[in-house]
Amino acid sequence: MILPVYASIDLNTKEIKDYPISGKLYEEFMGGKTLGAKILYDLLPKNTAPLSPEAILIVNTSPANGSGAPSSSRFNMTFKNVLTGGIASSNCGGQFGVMLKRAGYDGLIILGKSDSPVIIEILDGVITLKNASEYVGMNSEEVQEQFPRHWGKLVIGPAGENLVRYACAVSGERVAGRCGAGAVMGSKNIKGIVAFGTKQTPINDKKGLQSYITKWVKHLKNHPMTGNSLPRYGSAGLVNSANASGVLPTKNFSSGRYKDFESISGETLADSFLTRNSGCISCPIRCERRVMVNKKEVKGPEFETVGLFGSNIDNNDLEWINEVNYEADILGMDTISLAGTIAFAMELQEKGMADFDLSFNNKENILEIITSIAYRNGKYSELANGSKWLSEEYGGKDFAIHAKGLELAAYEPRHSVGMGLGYATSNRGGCHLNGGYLALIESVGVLSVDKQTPRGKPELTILLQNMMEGISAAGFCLFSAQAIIPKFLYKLGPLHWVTKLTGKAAISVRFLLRPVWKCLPWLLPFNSLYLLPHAEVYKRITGIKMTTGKFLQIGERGYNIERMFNIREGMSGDDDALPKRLTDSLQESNLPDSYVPLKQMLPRYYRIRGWDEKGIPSTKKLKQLGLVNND
Amino acid sequence: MIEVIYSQQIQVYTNCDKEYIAAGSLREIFKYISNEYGKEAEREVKSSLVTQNSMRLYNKQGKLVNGDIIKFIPVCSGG
Repeated sequence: MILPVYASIDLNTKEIKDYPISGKLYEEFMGGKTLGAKILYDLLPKNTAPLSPEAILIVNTSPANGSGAPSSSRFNMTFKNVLTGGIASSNCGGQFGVMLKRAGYDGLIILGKSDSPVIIEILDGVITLKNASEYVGMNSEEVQEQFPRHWGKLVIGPAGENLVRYACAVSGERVAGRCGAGAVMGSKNIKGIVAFGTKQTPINDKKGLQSYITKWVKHLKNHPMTGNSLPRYGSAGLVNSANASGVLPTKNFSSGRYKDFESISGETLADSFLTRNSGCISCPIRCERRVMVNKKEVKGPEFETVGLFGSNIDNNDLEWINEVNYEADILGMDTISLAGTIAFAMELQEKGMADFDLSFNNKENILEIITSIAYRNGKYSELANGSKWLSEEYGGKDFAIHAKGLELAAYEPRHSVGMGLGYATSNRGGCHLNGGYLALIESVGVLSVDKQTPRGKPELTILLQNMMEGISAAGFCLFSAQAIIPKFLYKLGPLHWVTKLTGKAAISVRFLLRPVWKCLPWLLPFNSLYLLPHAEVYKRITGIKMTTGKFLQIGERGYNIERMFNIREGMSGDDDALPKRLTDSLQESNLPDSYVPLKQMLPRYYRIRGWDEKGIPSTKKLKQLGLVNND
Repeated sequence: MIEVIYSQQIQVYTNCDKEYIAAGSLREIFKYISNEYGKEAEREVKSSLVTQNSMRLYNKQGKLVNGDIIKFIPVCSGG
């Protein structure tokens, strides 16, 4: 077995040394976010403040990065969440992860705080700390331009330097957006990490991998979602269906339907602004939109940005959304938390509870305000703390749209109640992906699993949360999992009885899923191109025996170690919550089930997870997953 | 009359982005599209999400009334 190479970098002492990863750890946690969570759990003392010098930042890759497998360029950042105080993992595409590996490292564990701004440079196996004083104040685009084009770069903009709690880290035009990764880098005086090298990713079975990759790429290209819809419309294509299903967040999640949805739809983006589509290294999906902003071609907005800077602030100007998306990226801020906080401030203003010169349907001063947020100027410094902090300061907790402190993504969950459960239980806070992304099968996709019923949702949420955890840990983009829904269902269409029956069956088999978790590795002792090809690719890269069942169990192990981190930091089931607007108020007064019945779903979710009634993993579950000793 | 709006991919077959059709149900619209534009066009609309007055339709049996707007939109995804 070829073990991953990790370096520990102490910014206090400038000491750089190898950090050994044992074969057992590698086998049990794979890489990326799950391995990152385990390392953070082991190394970080309890109650360490996220932005203190004692905090730890892990930047790591996964087995599949650089292997040439489809959609395998994702790298991960793990740290203590600046917004929630729990675990954080933030995932990013682009080329940095691959370059870090080519430079000879699978992961970096960064400790301490530099006494002056630094760039961590990794060139062909040599790590050097370089003075970055000359780069201070540069935006994320300017600082990246200081380094050769072909290097991998991971930098922060002014928002990270000024410790905006939702500052992101930027790599090329991609971002590790969520949870404040940029603020953690800023708190350590790291302006950027750059990497370049020529080392090849070690592959155990090169020939076997290549032939499997060929089949997988063909499958992805022939699939209606990964071969047609995502390349053609990108994620912004969801606006129409999200609105039709009542999940397009509108005016700070007070509604799920927006009168001007067509003006901000993926079709409008494609018709009026798209210059071309693009993609990450070795990705056949090519979902990235390229648009013009101020006569310059830049990365276009994703669905989350369109929804949250569009309908959620009552703005129908898509050209402006392209611009604000670009500005947020170069200033270095997560558009989800930024836009969510702005929408909350707008509602505070509307209700006379605070005054930030912000109001719905008025975007005129927002570009100026987000610059002030990034630099923490005057009263806008308060908006840099996120909506949870604002609600504690000014009131409005019932309509501060976050979970555990992290602002929700652009799916209004009152018409996608499983997504609501996912948001509430997600380890990193209000994230649709860490939450299992049930919106895809409940509301916006080809399947129409009953979006209002709580039945079956805990089971499906757990299945998808674990699956996505595993896929991320192995280094793949979650879009590669979209091809799991059989393509014949797309061809038959959402209204065909077979598709509808499949949706019903997904809920009806819920009673089978609980025993399934108890014997996963034995129940799914195979791999399939049509189920989780990621497991087979992992096996061929590493030589470690891997089956679909074992892969899902690693996902479950990762979810539980993240949960244990949160519990150790003082969280409990009480934090698996949503704002009352979503759980106690109807989205549509004539639809009595248009709310998230969280209290109904949580106890079952805990039981199936093997957690107690307070949401704490049982010793039995931890033993089963090898997270505590069996003796 | 029902206003029927086609997404980009369907316009390849229909050569128009919308038209007005006399129909009492979605089935009748499918039939019209099949007769007018062929089986491929019918397959394309059937694989789309369908909205009636901007609300997602979950079955094709429901009645349509004069002035309704039916829109076929591509199944998309995000994450």
